[in-house]
Amino acid sequence: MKPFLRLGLVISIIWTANLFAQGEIRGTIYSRGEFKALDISLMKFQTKHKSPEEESLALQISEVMQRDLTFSMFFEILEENLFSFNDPADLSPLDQDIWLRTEAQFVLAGKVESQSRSLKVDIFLYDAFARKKTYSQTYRAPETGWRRLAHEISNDILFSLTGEKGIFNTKIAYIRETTNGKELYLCEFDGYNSQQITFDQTINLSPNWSADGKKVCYTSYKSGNPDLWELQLETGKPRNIANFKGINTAARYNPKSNQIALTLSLENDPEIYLINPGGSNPKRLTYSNGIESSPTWSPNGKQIAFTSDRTGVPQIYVMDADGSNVRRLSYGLPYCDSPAWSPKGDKIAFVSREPGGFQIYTIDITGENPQKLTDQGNNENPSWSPDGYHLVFASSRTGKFEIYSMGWDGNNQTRITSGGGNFSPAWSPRF
Amino acid sequence: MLKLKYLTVVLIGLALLAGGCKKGTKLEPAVEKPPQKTEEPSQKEQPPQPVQEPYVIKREIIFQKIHFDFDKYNLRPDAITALNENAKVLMENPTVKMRIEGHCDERGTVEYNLALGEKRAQAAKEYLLKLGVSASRVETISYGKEKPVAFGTNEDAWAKNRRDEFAVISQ
Repeated sequence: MKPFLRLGLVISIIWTANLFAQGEIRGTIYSRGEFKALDISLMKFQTKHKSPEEESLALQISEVMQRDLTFSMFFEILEENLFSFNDPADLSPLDQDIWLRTEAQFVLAGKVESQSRSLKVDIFLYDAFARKKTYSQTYRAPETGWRRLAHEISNDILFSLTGEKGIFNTKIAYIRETTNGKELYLCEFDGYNSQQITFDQTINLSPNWSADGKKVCYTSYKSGNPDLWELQLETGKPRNIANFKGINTAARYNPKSNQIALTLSLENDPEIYLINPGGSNPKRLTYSNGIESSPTWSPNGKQIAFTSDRTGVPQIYVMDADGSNVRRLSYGLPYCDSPAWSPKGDKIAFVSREPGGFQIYTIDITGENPQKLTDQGNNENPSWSPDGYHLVFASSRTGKFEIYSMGWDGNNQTRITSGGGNFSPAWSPRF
Repeated sequence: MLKLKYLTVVLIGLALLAGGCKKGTKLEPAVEKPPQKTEEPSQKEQPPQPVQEPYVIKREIIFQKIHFDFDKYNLRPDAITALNENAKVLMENPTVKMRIEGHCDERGTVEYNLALGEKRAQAAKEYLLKLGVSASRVETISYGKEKPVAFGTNEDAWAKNRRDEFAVISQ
């Protein structure tokens, strides 16, 4: 099986002799409260040779960047069709056509050159008020890597203007129904370039990422029992981690250590256990009659939120990583499950069962401020982006299960898969 | 010399015939045999002679499914009745091993339903053990909501999917 990560892809960054005023220009930084998006205008990218190939690449790269920056929720893209005859590296402060016409705070200009299947892209970010360059960078990549390059540029623009590390090169692992089973798939965070990564012709479920993004663990029936397996993405090689009697499911890697929290039923009751990466030494954390499942780690690896039906109905609980200090988190909602701890540490997303179907909520880790994010169809399995600003989830709102992304406040719910039978998404870390 | 050859052929033929008749899973004998029990006082002192049938009649082992209420793994009265029947079948067929498969309806998350299916399978096993079935004869597995038998977003389909199925894994 071909290695997933294309090893030959190298993006070399050549710094131009330019400083960018880090910290000087920031929009109102996006905390969980009110924010004002930065208005930004993308000029049509120029090309070195004006060939159809270069023009097409320039357009595609610019389109991907536009979608990325809009997705981030930090930016408002203004479609102003700004134009200049000048070199994008040297837009003059006297270029009235741009500076007078634009209502944006920042103007992005670029130049694309393609030579022997190799790309060179120059990016220039201008402060529209000061009419000065605030950021510039030259990028090189193989032509086939144009999409990843566009995402990388978006990451840099975002960082330059807000100090936030972008997620535009992250991926989603998910399960897709095939003709003879359910298999693991990967796609880019925006749904592009989906590819199948298991070929077991059995039922595979519940993928989850290691903190370094190199491994995905999942439950598989390929040996006849729901066992825990781990896929090394670089080699495509799966290995069995745990095959205890009963279920080995809902596994999550500790973000800080190499332990795995999961649900085992080896002592008959489904409970939360910890195992080491070799899959041995199961340490039992919960001791309650009934079902304990779906552990999710706090970003510091010291606490675990999970689902328990110890009161007769599933609710969300939190405990320390050694099983002590159990407290209930979800009150006032009928049936809660599928907790996911935000990488910012401040909120937990989960689902609540309502008459119309399961809906996704977030709640502060103090238990306050429950916010309902969805209201149609059946919505399951929320998973946070590594920056804590977005979620992916599965929804049957169109009649078939597809994967959707949305902002942390429920905005911009966008379908990213098609064909139906897509579920259980897990957002990768940054690579 | 020829006689020996003919004899060999006949013997081989007989052996084939006999071999062909050895195993059969026909449920009905080709010829009606008279019942063994005959009331004849004069035969009271003699023990009955066993009659060797040339094949074994196999009875198909059928276990009954049981169903559950939403989000529950406790055994309903109808489930108890069915399990009593299943236990009887197990008792009558001491070499049979079964696997209890726990299933759920489509509502609820993948992971929670794997656990719920496990509880449903365990509940049935526990009860069978209480009735005296040996633990080594009963395996369990959960399929969560991954293997529905009924499709549809309605209570009819859901009720059919909330079930334990009992598979024969050896006889």
